[in-house]
Amino acid sequence: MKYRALALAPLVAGLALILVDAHATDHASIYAWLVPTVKAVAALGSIAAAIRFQRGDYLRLAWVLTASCYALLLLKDVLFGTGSRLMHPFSDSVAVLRGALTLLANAGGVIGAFLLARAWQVAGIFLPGSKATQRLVFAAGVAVSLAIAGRAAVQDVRTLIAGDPQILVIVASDLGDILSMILIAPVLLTAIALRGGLLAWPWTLMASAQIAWLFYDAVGGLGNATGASVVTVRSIEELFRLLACGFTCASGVAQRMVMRDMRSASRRRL
Amino acid sequence: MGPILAVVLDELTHYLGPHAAKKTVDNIAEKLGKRTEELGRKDVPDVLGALRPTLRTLLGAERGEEVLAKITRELGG
Repeated sequence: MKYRALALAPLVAGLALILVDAHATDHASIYAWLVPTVKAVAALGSIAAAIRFQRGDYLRLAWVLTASCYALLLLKDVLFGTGSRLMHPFSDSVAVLRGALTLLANAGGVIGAFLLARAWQVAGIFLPGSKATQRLVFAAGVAVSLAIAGRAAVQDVRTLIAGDPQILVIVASDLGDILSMILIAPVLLTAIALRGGLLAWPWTLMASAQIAWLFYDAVGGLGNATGASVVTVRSIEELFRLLACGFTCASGVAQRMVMRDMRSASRRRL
Repeated sequence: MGPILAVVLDELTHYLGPHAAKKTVDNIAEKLGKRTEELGRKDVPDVLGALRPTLRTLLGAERGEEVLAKITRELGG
């Protein structure tokens, strides 16, 4: 029950955002506090998981890097204010600094996601389906990632090379997103492999977070294609950002709860 | 199902779920050159040793060892 409540929390928060957004006139002021808040929530959830592990534990580093990703993205917002892929209200020097922080954050995020994605292999558990099915799922992950973020990334890199530093933060984000999205498949398959066990919760919630980031990226591309207004696209983007950060937090808290539950059970028997 | 196998599977299923737990135990038995049903008391140290990397990776070293200790206690070890 408590795990289900944890899984529902980001969805309830998302619903609340939809309601608030629908009645708001000044969306920018909502996002100015919402964006740092959801990043802080994701960082705190990841820290909650990390500190349950000991030095040298495989998943400790994965959670530390995930926490560092969100903490650096939060630091960027605290130092320089929030922005979006759709608006670039920063001076060139600030844009470069924001880009550098985003690059660093994404590097940590991608390595953290990579460690989570290969945990099944390190743990020696078996993913569902035949080897061929698993390869197909991995290939589908790569194809979807490139389809959603690939074209935008190429375009953004060209703009950066042409000398627009405003785009650096977006390029850093694009590259991090592509690599992280490729890693959705193994995390999702790990969650499916562990179905019915307590450990399925952190993995399912982490896969949900990664899928929400995938939708976050897809919204930008679809917005351009459909000609939707910037306000509409931004509000949908922020909804998926909230879900992604919320599920990351929930995943970290679930990992912590699994370990705490076990400890209680062991103590009862002693 | 023998008592050894039941205890190990019960504890593993709690964390890994029934499918991963069974596959993990099947794989350990295979590595020991046995069928899962043939695992006996003398195989317990090998089974626990083979489970160690799985539990330490997913639950951390301390918690992983707690689960292994719990299995050992329940087997009367």
